[in-house]
Amino acid sequence: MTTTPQFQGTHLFDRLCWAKENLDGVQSDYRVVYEDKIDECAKILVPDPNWMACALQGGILPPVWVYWELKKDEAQPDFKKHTRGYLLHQTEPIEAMTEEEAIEYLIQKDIPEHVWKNWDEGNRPKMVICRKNQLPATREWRNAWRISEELAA
Amino acid sequence: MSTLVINELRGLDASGSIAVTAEGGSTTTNLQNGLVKHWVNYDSVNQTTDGSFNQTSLTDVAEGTFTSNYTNYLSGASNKCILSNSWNTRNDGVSNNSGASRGGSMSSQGAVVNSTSSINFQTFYGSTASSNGALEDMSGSYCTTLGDLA
Repeated sequence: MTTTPQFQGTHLFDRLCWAKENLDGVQSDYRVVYEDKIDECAKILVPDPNWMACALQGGILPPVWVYWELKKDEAQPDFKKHTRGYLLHQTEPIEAMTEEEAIEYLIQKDIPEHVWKNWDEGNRPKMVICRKNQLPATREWRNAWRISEELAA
Repeated sequence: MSTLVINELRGLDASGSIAVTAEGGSTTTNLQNGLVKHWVNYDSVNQTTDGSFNQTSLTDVAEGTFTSNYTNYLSGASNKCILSNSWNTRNDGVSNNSGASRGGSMSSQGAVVNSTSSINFQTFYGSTASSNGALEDMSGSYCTTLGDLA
């Protein structure tokens, strides 16, 4: 197994270059289906294979709270550019995750907070983790895809 | 002719800035500014990412509409350039998608605010004199980002 170098303090972009060179991509079978606007079809989060390889390897990616901090900065009305990008590079990288933990990380990074924090409130779930083969096999009526009513609690 | 064998290039005055002399010999271009910082090739028909760099995940928003989420954010939301293209087929190159004359095209989604964390992009087939173009899924949806990293 490839050993991850000590990456704390190394620019995250450089770590990604190392990972691309040294790790094989991992195509996750998981998909996260979610609805964040009532009048729009369901969105599907597709994990990136190179990122998943980093997550399973460990020692490469920053903890997810780093992204929350940067999003907070960007939400400020006077935001021009990031001044705390060092959080991505200087924070101690997280250890290896399981594939399921990596999906949780992605949910908290790339899905709107109001969806994943309240996913099970309401008449039916706003978010579902599934396997790729549980999605419709073809893209027919893609703009009408919704989370099934049968999943109602 | 000499061969340079090194692992790292670093600027002398500023480590993240290297000037390369341009064709005419009188001007220079900045090496770091010219490098791609993110790219993705998403097959929206088969719903898989076929190639990528600096992406955590891709959100399949709707037909022909996608969001690519960066691993290493950009420093600013607007100081960037997005290059995109598509493979104008829905069956991995067996046949054209919408006819060679209509072509395929792409754009950054207009109704989404610029962000340092992601880029939205769309794939279309083109219009003809008698019929409109429309968003459509294709076997290759390509998106590249140039800009400064956070």
